[in-house]
Amino acid sequence: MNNSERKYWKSVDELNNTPAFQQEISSEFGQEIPVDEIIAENASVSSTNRRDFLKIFGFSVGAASLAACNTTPIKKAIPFLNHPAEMSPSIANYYASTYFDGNDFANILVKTREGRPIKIEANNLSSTTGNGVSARVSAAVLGLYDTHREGTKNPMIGGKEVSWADFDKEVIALLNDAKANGGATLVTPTLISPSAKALVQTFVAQFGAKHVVYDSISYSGMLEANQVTLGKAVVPYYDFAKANVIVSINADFLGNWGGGLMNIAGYSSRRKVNEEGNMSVHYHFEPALSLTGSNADFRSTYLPSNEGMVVAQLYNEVAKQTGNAGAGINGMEVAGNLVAAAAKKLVSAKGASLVVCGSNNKDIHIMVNNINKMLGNYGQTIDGVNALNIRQGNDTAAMNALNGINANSVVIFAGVNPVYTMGNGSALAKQIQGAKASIALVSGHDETSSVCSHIAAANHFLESWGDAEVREGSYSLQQPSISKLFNTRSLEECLLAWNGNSASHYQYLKDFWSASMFSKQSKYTTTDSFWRNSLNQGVLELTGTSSDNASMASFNANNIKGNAGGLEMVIYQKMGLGDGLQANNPWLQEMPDPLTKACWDNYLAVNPMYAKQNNLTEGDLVTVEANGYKVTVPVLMLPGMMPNVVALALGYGRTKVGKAGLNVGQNAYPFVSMMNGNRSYYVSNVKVAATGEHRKLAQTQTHHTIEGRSIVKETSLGTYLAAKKAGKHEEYNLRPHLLMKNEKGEHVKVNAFDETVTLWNKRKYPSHHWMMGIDLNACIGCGSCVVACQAENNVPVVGRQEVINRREMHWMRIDRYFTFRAKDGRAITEETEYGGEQYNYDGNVFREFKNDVADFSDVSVVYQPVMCQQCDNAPCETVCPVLATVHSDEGLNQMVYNRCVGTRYCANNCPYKVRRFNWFSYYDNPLFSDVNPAQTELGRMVLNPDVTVRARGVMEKCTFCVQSIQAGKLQAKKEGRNIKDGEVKTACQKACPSNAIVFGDVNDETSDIYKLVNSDRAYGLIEEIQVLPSVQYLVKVRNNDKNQA
Amino acid sequence: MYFTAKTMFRSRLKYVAFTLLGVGMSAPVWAQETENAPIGRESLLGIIILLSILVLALLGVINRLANGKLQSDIAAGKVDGEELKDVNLFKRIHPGLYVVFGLVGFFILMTAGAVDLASKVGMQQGYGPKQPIAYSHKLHAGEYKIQCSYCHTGVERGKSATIPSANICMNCHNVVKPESEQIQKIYDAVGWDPATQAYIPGYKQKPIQWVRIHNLQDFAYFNHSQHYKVGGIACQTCHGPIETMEVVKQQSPLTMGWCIECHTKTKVNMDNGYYKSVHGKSEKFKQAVASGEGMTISQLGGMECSKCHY
Repeated sequence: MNNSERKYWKSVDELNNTPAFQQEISSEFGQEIPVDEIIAENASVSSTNRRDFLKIFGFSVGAASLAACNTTPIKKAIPFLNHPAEMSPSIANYYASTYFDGNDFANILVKTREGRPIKIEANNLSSTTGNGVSARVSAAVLGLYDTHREGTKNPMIGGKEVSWADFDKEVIALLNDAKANGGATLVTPTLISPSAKALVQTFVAQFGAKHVVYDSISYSGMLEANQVTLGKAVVPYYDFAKANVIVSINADFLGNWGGGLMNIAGYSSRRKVNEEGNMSVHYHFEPALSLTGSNADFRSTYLPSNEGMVVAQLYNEVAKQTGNAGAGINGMEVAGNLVAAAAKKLVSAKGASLVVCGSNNKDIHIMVNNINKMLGNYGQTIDGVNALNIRQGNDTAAMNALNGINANSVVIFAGVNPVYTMGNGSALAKQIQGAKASIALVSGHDETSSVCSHIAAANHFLESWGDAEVREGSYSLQQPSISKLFNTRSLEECLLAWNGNSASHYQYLKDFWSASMFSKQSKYTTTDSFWRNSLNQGVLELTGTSSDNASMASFNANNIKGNAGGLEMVIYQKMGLGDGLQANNPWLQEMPDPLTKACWDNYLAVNPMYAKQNNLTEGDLVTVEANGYKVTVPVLMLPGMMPNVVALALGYGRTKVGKAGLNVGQNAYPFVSMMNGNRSYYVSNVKVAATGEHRKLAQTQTHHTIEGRSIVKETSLGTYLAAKKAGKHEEYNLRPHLLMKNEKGEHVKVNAFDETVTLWNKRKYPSHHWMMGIDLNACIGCGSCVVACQAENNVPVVGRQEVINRREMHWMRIDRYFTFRAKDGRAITEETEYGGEQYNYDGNVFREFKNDVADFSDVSVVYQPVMCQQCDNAPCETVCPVLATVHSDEGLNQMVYNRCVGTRYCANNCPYKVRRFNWFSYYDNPLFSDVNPAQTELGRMVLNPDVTVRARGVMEKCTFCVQSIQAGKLQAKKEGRNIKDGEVKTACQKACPSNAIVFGDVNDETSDIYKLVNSDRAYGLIEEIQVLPSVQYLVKVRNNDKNQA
Repeated sequence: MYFTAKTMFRSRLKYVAFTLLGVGMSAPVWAQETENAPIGRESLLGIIILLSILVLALLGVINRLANGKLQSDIAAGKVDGEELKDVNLFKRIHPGLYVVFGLVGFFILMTAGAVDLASKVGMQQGYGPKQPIAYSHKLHAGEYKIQCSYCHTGVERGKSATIPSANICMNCHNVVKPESEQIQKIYDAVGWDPATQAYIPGYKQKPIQWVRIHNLQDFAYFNHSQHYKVGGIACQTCHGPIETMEVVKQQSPLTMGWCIECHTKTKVNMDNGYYKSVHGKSEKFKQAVASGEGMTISQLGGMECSKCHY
């Protein structure tokens, strides 16, 4: 039985092979091209006879020539008067810095050209986020050049721009006045900067003020639980690299939960199959499909209100097997007895297992902590000693402070937007307007600042100094990589001014580090060398050893059971927008969601069966009502959802933001309600009603379909190891073959990609041969590479309508395939098999369904990044009439924009559909002025000067970052040596937080890429057509053999 | 120093074909800047148009006079009116001549447009505009033999050779020739007081706005360090006898044909460790080293599109 011959599908329409889908894939364009209209409009031209043509031609040439009777424009070249030694035109500088916006954290390198930051990459020296960056971190560079920032160029009082001196004078007077009324309130997100915290302390003491930590996404239930079991209200550090067994109950730890980016490297390092066949196993339980859930080996669903019961079930099972007392309440098993299976596996890996939970319920978290304690995970996979400093907001304290704003209040909002992110935003807005004074530290107006009386114009983080201690002992520095674009200040600069400290922020920070950090280390002997080296490296890692500091604790069983009833809705964050802070970032808006492949919208994700039962189809507008709040959103069918659960994403529906993010989607924050003192991210008794209207979703999902060809290969760990041992590679990596007659007339099997069966002459690559390898086991589908590619290669943003027209310009995409399981554990492959029975991991019938009411909750997902495959026998090259795409001696399929005349034959002939056509000049067409950053003087500064901005009518595609290859070669030539392996990296490779992408020269037999392409798991896409792609994929191996479930 | 008539005419001829394609497609709305005009084309065209009008006017006058004279002569009976009823000169000109005139005018206008387009994409060989400071390469590079890379510091490291910043000038000119009017311009820009030998505190500096001569288009990647440091190409190969130029002008056409011509002829330095280790295994390379013939850039793949266009 070959596991590789599975049927994968990208959408429910594709699986059902509906007429609509048939029609959609049969047409090249998303919509009818109005050829007749175009001809009719230009009827005068088409009826032109030769004489008219000559007249018009003569006149236009004459007129053009007359118009040309002018001087040639003078171009100026203005060098520095005093050239800074560290900066040279055309040479990129990298600055180590830190990104933290209250949610996401990353140690970063900022690439600057001619003094402009143009890209954010990972700082490889970091132990927490050294592998790569997330899409949001990559995209943050665009925020620096957001024209929306021009709204807050200067500090403002009552809408009038004032000087900082006047502003400070008034604010200090207000703060002093407020002392009598219990002091001002400073609201910030979680601060992880030791130096900023010290400033806040001084500020609080000096003005008798209160400091309130308000996080847009709450972890307060978890903090309260850890206060009980660990003795401190923290999010512990989870070491996924040490965990052999991972059980997650609704914790999207690869996406937005906990440390997010920090978890990915450890997790994916254990998902790669090493020589010993050692790989972690991942069980996932969740009501709605998440990025993390889609990567699990075993996954099952439950109702959000039953979350506590599922944890209790796990508690009871683990307690039974470890000889501990049970939870004292009856748990709830999920379909397929998967909780029991997970518990068994957990106990077998005591001390090397991990249970994480995404609930925000204190008592559920105490149960989870107890489970981990019983499993001996503290001090091993969970570090509660050197815990994370992120997500410190306490809901009760924050809500009390914000709801207590009254006519006497002086309140300062720095880096928070509670009017948008709090459930009762509109009520809060009224309170703020009624307050004595409200000061917003903001970069570009948001919902909160627009009701504030005072605006302290804020820096972008790339313009600011700062530091961070993301984890106990993990310090990092933040340094500005550009001078301030506007007359702005950071929070620290404001506090210094208000505290009466005349030091510059730089001086303050340097002194602070010399005083507080220098003594913690012994590597550097002088404060000066310590400071310079720390700044240069960006990180200072002094993490201590871990130990078991947890204790078992009791919990309130009454609080475990959630509010059940009716339809339940999960409120979640997407990989693109997260909490909505960066909603005005067009790169993030246009990044297809990993699971739904939708962009520029939020939507009600429902199980296809739910849709069927309620007579809904994709894109139907429905009203969603709960907690007395109502929104109208389109429906999107998402397999993997619990059938009677729907999901809606946060981060959309911004009403005070720049052009790109304005009124995109609907705000879901008001659905978030308080439960047992903490914010709860699901609601019960949701009413969904069709409006009869329709809104087409901008999805990249079924574009570029591969029509059922098997391009994803997947196997289970057991099958893989057994077959590998037996030398039967074809069992998990069946490569296409042909039967050919040999000299004796016998039929023999020949590899379809063998050079003897092809008409082509084999290409020779005498110098370099660049190839890319992608480990499907490591790829988690997060989309970070897509945004990094966009930043590196000046890929235009096209906006919602053009995505609907299937004209998105991303050079790489991440294909997402769903699949079912069959009786023997393998995935269901053919349409005929679908519609019968669906099977459990143990091979028993899970549930039966008929074609019309298929339950799509139990699906597994495979991600596959696809970019130009740089084929040796590239089909695009042979059809280009103007030789605009030709092959290089180094294995690259070159694209020459200036030769391209836009016939689009190449895109038509590309088997991978990776070529993109510029239908418009996106950089200056007013149609795209709202979404395309390259249209303004400010936004244009983010463009990479090494890559051409493509014109209208030109085809483009992935180049393997040829600019980096050329730069690497030049460096090697200057030094008179060969290129070292790993010296040249593509943008996607650098961004990948899971190290799934390998790139290099296969002519170098010691290189990583050489090993990868010669691996028994390596295969190319659609190899049977003999194009010999230069991108190779490693067969996905899941650790989901039957005996584990 | 403007275009000489000869080079201008030649370059115009060269780009007629290019214009025929280009003009129709473009709607030129070009900068109205007149300061430091590199080509005094508007005056030239103006003269042509004025002269044409003048010629026509004179012809008209002659025509009128001749006609008047004829009429009066007929009246006076000096000539036979039957023979010469009409002396309209315009009718006497051969019709083909109008076509010729028209074509010439058309041709002139088109070539003007062609030159504009060509210069727009950096094709302005011989362009040597007046600079804000009359810096002499002849003096510095020629007479004093100051190394090019002393001022053009980027040439070994980066894509741009860089136009030197004023602080490089000031390395010498804080003491050398402070009385010169041209040097004073530098002092004015940076805020140097030659009397006190110090920078004026709080001085608002005025960046020097050099006129850019070489305008290679953004779609072609060119790196100075690749050619100067790796290739060992002398500056003069592309920039001409720069050490003899009082005013710098663009020596080379900067067209793709020009690039390619050199890349097909020039041999690479086979001793470079990069070429040895990367190409060393190939038989061709070994032979080329053994025979001492060497290999050209294009033979090593230096003419592939993505070497310069990406």
